[in-house]
Amino acid sequence: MRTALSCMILTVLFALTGCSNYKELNELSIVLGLGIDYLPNKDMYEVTYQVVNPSENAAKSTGSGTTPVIDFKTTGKTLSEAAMNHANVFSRRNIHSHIQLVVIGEKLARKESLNFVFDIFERDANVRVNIPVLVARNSDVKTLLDTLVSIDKIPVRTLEGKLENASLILGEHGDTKIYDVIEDLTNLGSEPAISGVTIVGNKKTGITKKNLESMDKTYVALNGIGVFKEGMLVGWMDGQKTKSLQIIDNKIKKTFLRIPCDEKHYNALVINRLRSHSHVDITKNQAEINVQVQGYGFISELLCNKDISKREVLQEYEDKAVLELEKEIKEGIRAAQKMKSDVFGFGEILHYSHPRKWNDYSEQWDEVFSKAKVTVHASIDIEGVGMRIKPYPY
Amino acid sequence: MSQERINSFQLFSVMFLFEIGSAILVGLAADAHQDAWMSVFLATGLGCILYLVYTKLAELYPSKTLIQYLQSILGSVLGWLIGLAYVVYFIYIASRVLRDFEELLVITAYRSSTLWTIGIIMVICVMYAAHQGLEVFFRIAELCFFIIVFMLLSLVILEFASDIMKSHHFLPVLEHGWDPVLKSIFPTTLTFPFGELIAFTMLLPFLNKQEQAKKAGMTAIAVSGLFLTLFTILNIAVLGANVIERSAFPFLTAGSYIDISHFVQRLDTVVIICMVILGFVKITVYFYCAMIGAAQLFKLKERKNVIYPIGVMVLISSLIIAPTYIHHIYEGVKIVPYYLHLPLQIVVPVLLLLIAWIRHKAMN
Repeated sequence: MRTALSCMILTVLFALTGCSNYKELNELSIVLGLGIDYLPNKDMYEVTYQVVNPSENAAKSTGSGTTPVIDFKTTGKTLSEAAMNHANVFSRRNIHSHIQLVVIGEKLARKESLNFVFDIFERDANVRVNIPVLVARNSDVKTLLDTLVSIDKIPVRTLEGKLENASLILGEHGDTKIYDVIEDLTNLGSEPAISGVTIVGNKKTGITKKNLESMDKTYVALNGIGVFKEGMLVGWMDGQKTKSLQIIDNKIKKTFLRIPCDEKHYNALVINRLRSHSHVDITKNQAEINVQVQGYGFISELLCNKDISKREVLQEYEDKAVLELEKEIKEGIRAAQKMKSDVFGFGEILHYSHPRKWNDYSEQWDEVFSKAKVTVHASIDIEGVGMRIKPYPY
Repeated sequence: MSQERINSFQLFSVMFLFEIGSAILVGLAADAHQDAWMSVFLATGLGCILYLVYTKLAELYPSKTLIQYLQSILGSVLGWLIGLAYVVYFIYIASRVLRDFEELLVITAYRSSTLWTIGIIMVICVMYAAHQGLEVFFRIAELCFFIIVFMLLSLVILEFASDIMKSHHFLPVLEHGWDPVLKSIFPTTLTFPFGELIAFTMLLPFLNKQEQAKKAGMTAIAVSGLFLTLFTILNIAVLGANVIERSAFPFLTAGSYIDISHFVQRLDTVVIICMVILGFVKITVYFYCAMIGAAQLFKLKERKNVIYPIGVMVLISSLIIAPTYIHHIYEGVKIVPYYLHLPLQIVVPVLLLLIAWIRHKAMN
């Protein structure tokens, strides 16, 4: 009896091995990148999917020379509807758990808002929220994702790589993740800042295979940081001042500074370590923002003839570097003040340090922030000069 | 009933797993925002005091369960009725915990399955454990203790290593004063999970060395309280109070943020495995209490006879207690602590202790 029963159970177990909703690998399409845009006249979301074409990405290529990824667009009143609509367009079932990057269209950012776009990422158990976000600047999301690239093959991966590199080496672009954006949108005292990407070169040839064969390639590049206010894109921050965002958030790993040497020439200083402390206080409707920065670095390039073996010269360079750093940070804050958007999260700093004062000003913080008095104190230690002490035509 | 014996380490492990149980999953003291960790920490202390009440009762009536000394203290009719209330309560809480885990699995991993499917499988496991007897279950729990501690501690290390914690999530400390903290301690955090130890008044008589009940229990409460505090701190550091308030399963969300150089990631599965083990232990403990209680109330010779009825009751009530998960959580936070936990975990035991004391004094 016992043996018969166990035999029966075992047989039944074989029949029940989780086939109720199985999907074979060749019936799935893996979505790596997602582009979200908005059609203002139709009031609909337009979602672009970047799906990997597995045979084209195999190490020993078994492909027939088609594109490494396939991009397609669907539309819907909600993002889920658009995701379901892909069934009309594509022959395989999308799985969204491997999305690596989300690109927001400029129309969505300017006309709609980011406010509820990320809800589905939080709500769905299979989609991650620790993936970076970018804003497509001056270009259509689909074209941006379509632009073919040679070294990594998959456009989304190159974007991700660029973002990672830029935040590690240059410090101008931060790696803003979905949960960071959500946190900034929820907090009254901070606004999201998201890096922008643009297409450089000919948009038409960029999306064809010709782009891979030619040396005059069309490519996508990080370009500026989009400043948001109440979920809407209100402007762009460009150039060196974008570093200020990473500096104040203490996210910066490495960056460089220009040190003016004479009227025309500069020296380069690589900053290895940088810590900042920000204090915000408010008295009689006048906010005071005080940023203190401490940096350590080494001189990587000298473009004028000065004897840096002398202590005074190094001291002079340190002072000049301090001025340059302070200028970059101040310009960054001023740019945000002009747009009345506290992308630095100074409001949150006030919230932590003076909760009572924050309660009085949390509603009109944007106004108060835009008129805040900003002081920046930097100090920089030059710790090394590299392999040569004096430059060569000495 | 007295041939089954458990030792104090086994009691410790079961208590630990039971306390961590669903508390770690649904998160504690979300009302206290970023100060939730204080609530949990303070509630641990109060939980210890509450446990002293339970052990004192057990000392006064050695080798008797709650159901039995209810009748000796309050007389056979009233005692029997309150005992019945306790048995129903244990069944109800078992089905609540079962619902938690059904929902967790359906929402996260088995999205095409029904609550029924998951519930039936879980209940079969629990019934099997009940059938095998207390000793077997406690030995299994001893093993699970090490597995869970290992997994939870590795999650802690990985959360530290992946650099996702933000210290400013804790600030400002006590933004709204002590009020929200104290309110969330009493009754919510004190009753769930610490007051739930009332279940162990049914199991303490099985301990081989009665004098160790207090020590093992206190250690278990202290250690599990510290674990819960640690995980509340981690959840706040990783997610921030806002996300915790909005999430169904904050601990799971925090686990899914882990990403170490794009290699160690998607650890929600580990969290789910932990939760299944913890859920199993917690449901089984309640199941045992209901089983022993029912057998003693109805004077059954063989307590295994009630396994099937209770199993079916737990399964069915887990599905009908709430239409959706949101209602389930709402009931768990707003209704159950006040109308069930508070009287049955605190008021009745404290009254029992007072009456028992007075009686003992009078007798002497």
